[in-house]
Amino acid sequence: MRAFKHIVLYFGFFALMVFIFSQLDFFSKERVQKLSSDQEERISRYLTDVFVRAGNIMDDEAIVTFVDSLSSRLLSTIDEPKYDYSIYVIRNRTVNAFALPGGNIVLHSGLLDYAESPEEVAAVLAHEFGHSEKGHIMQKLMKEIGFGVLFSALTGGDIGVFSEIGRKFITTRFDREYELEADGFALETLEAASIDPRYLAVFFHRLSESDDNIMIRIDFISTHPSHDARRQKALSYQTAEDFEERPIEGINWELVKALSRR
Amino acid sequence: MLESTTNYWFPRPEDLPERQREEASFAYLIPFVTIIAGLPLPIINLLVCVAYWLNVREKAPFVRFHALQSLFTTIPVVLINAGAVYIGVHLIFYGWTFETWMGGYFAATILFNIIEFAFNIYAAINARKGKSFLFIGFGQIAYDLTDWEAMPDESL
Repeated sequence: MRAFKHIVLYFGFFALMVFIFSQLDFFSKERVQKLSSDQEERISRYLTDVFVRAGNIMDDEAIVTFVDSLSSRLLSTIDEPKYDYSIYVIRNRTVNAFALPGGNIVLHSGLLDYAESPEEVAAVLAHEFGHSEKGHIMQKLMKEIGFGVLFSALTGGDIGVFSEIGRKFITTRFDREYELEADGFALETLEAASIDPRYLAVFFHRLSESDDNIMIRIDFISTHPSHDARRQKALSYQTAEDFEERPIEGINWELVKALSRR
Repeated sequence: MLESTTNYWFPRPEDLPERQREEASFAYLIPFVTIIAGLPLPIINLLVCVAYWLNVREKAPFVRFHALQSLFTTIPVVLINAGAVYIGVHLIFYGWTFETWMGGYFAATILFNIIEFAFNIYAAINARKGKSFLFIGFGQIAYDLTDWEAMPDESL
């Protein structure tokens, strides 16, 4: 009985220490999150340099207006977005889009060319916002690279470590559950932004029916043979009864398409 | 962490053979052998203590007692460490959001591991000298479970 009392005291003392340490500012949630976002910013800068080289960025006014219009419409529906997002359109014929750490999203010109409507691009963008908002990017890096390597990079690791991060970033994909979560986020965001969520399903469908010659590397389609199920899920998404679609205005879609073909 | 041994019988240090003192001392050092493997998988530290106790369970009571005391004192730290690993894995791989209490838990875990480390060193040194000591709580259980009458024939 006395031994039992001591064991209870042992864990009681541990609980007390947890409480005391939790009161210290050093371990506060805000401080750790600040530290974490500073570190993410470091990796983000490196990866953005790698993937968004200045020479490849498409900064034509029509394209900038187009992505600004889409992103502001989508982001206006999110309560306190996690990042101050930057959307880059880069000259690349591959149909691709991906989110980098730190709220940087990259769209290939091939994607704009392939899309049949601005709403399809909005659907892809909403999906990538989903990955960023749900914290999938850093989780993917930690999972694939290993916490040790990532920690080394975050705390001043050498360039070799950063190169490894870059290599892993392009050769690995998100888990199925992350893709489904990003899909769900995209569907809800599209609806909130008065864009028909079924555009996501339309885009899935067109990709799955595509000619093999089209270079499709888009993250959410290329690694998951179950995209039919995801398309079905997007198709079966029920919008609210009073949902009304609003066209995306203030953009020159034809000019965007023409520029993306250059 | 230590309990008075006034009411407990222990063999006198001068009656203990060198080998028994070494084996008793090693019971507290063996968790350090697997310290690297035990960081991600705390259960390994516990398994190695169990393996050592199984190995010495036919030996002299002084050795059995210390192996058991070492095993019992490892259990709560292993449970605490397992909690830290569980939280860490969920933070890294399952999208848990960091909360202030988690920082407190990690800090308290580190503190308890340091305390455990210090006491294990203390215990190893004193067991090597043949001195008697009891860790509070777990020491008493280990003492009660040790058959102090059963003396193995170590002449073989």
